[in-house]
Amino acid sequence: MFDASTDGPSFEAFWDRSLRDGWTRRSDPAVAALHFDVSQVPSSVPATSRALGTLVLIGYPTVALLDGRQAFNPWLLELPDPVTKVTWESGASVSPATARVLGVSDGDLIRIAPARDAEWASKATADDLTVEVPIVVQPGQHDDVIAVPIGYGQRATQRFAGIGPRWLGADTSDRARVGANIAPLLARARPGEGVAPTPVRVTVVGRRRELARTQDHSWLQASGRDAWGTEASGALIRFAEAGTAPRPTQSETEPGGPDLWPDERQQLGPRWGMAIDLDACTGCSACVVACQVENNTPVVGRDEVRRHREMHWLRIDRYYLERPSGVAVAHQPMTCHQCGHAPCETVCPVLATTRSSDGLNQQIYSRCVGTRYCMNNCPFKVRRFNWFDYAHDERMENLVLNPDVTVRSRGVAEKCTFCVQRIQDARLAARLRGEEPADGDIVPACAQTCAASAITFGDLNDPHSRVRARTGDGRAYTLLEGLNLQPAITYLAMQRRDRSPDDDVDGN
Amino acid sequence: MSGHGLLATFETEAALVEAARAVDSAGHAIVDAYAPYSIEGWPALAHAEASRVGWACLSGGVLGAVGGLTLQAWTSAVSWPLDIGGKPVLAWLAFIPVAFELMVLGAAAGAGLSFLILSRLRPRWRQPGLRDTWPHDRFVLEVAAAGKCDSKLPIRCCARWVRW
Amino acid sequence: MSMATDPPARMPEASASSEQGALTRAMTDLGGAALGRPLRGWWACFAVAVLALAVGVVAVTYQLRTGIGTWGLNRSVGWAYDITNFVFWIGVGHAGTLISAILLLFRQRWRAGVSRAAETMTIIAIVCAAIFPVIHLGRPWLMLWVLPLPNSRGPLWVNFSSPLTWDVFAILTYFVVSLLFWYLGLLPDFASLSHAATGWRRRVFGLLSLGWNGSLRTWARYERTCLLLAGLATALVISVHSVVSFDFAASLVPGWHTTIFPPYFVVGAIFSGMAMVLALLVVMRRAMALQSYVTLQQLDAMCKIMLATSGLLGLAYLIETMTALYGNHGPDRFMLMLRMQGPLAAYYWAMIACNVLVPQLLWSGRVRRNRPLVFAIALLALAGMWLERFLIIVGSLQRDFLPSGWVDYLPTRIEVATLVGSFGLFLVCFLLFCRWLPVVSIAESRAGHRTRLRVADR
Repeated sequence: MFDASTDGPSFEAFWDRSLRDGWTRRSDPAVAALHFDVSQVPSSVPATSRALGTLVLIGYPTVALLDGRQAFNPWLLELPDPVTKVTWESGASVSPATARVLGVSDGDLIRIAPARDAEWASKATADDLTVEVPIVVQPGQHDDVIAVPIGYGQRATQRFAGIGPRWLGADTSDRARVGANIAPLLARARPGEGVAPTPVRVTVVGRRRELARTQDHSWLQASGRDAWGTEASGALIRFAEAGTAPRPTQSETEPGGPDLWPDERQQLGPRWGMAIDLDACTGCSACVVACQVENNTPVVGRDEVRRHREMHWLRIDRYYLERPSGVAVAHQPMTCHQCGHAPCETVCPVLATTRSSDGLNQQIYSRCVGTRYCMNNCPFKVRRFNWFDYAHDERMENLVLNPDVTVRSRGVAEKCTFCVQRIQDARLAARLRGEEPADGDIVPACAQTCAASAITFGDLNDPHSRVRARTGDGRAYTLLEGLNLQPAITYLAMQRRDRSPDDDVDGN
Repeated sequence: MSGHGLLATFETEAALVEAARAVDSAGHAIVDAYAPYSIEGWPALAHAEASRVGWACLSGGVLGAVGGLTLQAWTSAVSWPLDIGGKPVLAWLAFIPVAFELMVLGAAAGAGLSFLILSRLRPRWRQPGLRDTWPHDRFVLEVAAAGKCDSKLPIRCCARWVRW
Repeated sequence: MSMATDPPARMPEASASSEQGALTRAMTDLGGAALGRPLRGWWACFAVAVLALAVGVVAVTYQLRTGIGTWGLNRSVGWAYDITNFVFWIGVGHAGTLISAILLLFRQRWRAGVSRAAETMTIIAIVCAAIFPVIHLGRPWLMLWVLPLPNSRGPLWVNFSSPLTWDVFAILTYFVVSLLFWYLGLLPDFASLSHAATGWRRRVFGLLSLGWNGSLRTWARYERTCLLLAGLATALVISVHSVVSFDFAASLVPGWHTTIFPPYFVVGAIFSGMAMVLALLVVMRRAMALQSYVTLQQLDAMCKIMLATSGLLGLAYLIETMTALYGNHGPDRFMLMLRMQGPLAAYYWAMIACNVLVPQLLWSGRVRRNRPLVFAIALLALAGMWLERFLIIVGSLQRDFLPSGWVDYLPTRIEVATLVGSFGLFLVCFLLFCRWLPVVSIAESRAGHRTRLRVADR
């Protein structure tokens, strides 16, 4: 464990540090040497499946639970899957066409049983191996495949299944395990092949199990607009050709037209901002968990997520786009845009949300009375509300809380702060040195965790900051420009790789 | 006030008005009259002074509007100026609704309170003076008289004397 | 002023003169219930109302203890039943102010018979409405923070740019002015009642009459005050619901951000208020034998106001549609299509039927004279107006800028119970009013009697 070359010369110092931190760093040379060999990936759909008239079951490891080793972490159980956006559930994904054939829609329970001719399952055991899971209709999926995550349904997840506030209307039917375990159904794989595709029989149960899903509406037109064309101006997701010219300077792109109010503010200090590269974002959702851990965001449980009350300050919107080549998926991390003209601030009657001198839209929990007007008026719907007292008095649970962040009480609104505790820490440290924090000194939890470095954070007023440079990028755009919100988050458009003449004209 | 007066009771409004006209033209002072409902043109008949309720209403309204604007301007721009949604601290347009409502409130309070005060209306356990005899279905005329039993009063009615 | 020196000579009993007879009759007819005459069916109605109120009290108590999560709200739909009920009740209240203020200024004599009931309804409706913004707060125990009160947190005031703050002032003003107007109207009646009553009723009514003695000087001042207050209340009829509509119009939610809202809300308010007054009066008239005070002509006039406001509402709906289609503006067209075909389309068409189509029956005089039918149309109008507010609030919130935020909304039992409870509260208060106060102004009906006499003289 102790390696003098990386951990320093003193074992004592290493030991103390490890005890204090609760973790140690280990580098594994074997990991670095791994490489990906596409030719070794087995064909997921056997050619025989159509002939058999059955579906092929594929068990896949989810980003959150992997093979199930993370199944005892409520943070991860509540993390929406990057594509299906389902939480607290092992839903069976089928293609829209297959769903039509089966006559099912999202949340309809189906029973999966081994196909009759499965050589490893005798007729006697077939019924014991049946698994009931709800349907998740998944655009872009192969019509013959039914995909269910593995690692769910473990016995010890019982104590998480019913997490959430207890009240009259709470769904108490759900005290079994989290999800269903499909491992017994899966055909034994040949050594080195991982989990093999298995032919299965599917029957419709006729009951429903409402999915706890964080996003229900997902279709955008090819231009990045949604099906109704609602956004005020420009597309939500934009695409750029490679080598797009740099953007004109900020002042020229400011929306035209007279402002009702003269802008009298003199912003002398920093204005914190963020640039998010949609091209780099894989939707892996590590940032979502990082944010939740950093900011003491409660886990609210399946029933509350089903009621659309998940508390994640940062979410990743997933949109489907119809492409000639098939269904494309775009991920868009979405959090408080710290607007310069914040609609939430204007409508709060008690001044519980105001603008700080460094350009943050700050929420003052102790002042909030909970009118929820700010949430209604937020065009990005990134504000969250403490519908119940989600915080617990459990000593053990409270050990995971970040002491730098307030635990919010019942009845107040909350939202992303750009990790203001880290900003203040860095500024204080810099001030003690007699200087201002350098670019890159401040890293919010999401940016710190992003493996793809898709998130850049810094001072928009600093002409030399990296974030400022990215806002001048040719791919840079902001959301809902027509509303003149002056957001502090800039997105970098996706580079289009699959462009064909049939594709619609882009919104950018 | 001290002196004597005559309370004359009538059964109809017309009789009261007729008697009041006669009393007035005979040079006697009409102190007041009592009726179950308002009689049009009475103030002119009884030479009553113009009501001050209107002025109180106007003052209340002006006070409410000016006070409302001052309150908003002072709390928003002087006491603790805050940056709200990028608006200037003196966002005059946004102050209009509250100033308007406070103007109406002030005017209504002015009118209502001045009415109660000028009419000496307030909650009391013991009803004063005429209270017990105020006829809710008759009309009473109160005339000031120089001496007791001034039989020259030009009215015929059920009457009785009172002393202030 | 001292008491009369002579013991008051007993006046000769009321002569056969028709005028005096009418005056006494008004007293016994209208003051009867207040003086202890039993009301037919009152206890049964009261029991039902108290039951409904109890349901609401239980629901609200539970919600206050447990959290606002007991309602079906979610991250995108922050308001639903709560603010719908609030806007609905405030709107219902507008009819009272309209009848007592605007119609007074326009010298509509027919208002005399219905103004008391309408004004009382206004006060009760404001109370019913004001409950919702309080209980809908996440932390209702801090509700006083919406007032600019000096506080221990340093100079922390309120945000005067927020339409909710405007609401607070508008509703407070509306309540105070309506209460003042209502109470002034009751003063002469309290005096009459105290005169006619005995025992503790005499004491209480006497106390409430503030020593009113029918002096004609006071009467003159009184009429002037009422006229001034009527002028002010007229400003309120227009402004209060306009300010309520600013909650929506001043936001940027598609479907809320519309300049047509202030007039649209005011018209809708008068429409629903008239419906409520009609529904109440049709029942009261029969149950309390008020046929000679609340006449068919008065009901007819109110039906016509309903018809007119229904037409205006229809025009507003039409303009919304036209603007969306003609303007070719994405969000507007989207909201239109959403209302007509989206998840709440059934609500939309039910609203059109209740608010625009059904009231067209009132063109027919035979329908206007058919009281059960008028009652049914009025109830439908109330339902339609509730739906309209629900559609505006929930329909817009559940589909705004980002499709990722689109969610649907379903009320919980607690929310429905709260709505039931607000109707319970309304009926309890209104039944208490029927039982304890003259439901038609005694003084005004006397003055009205006099007017009729004069007309006959000519």
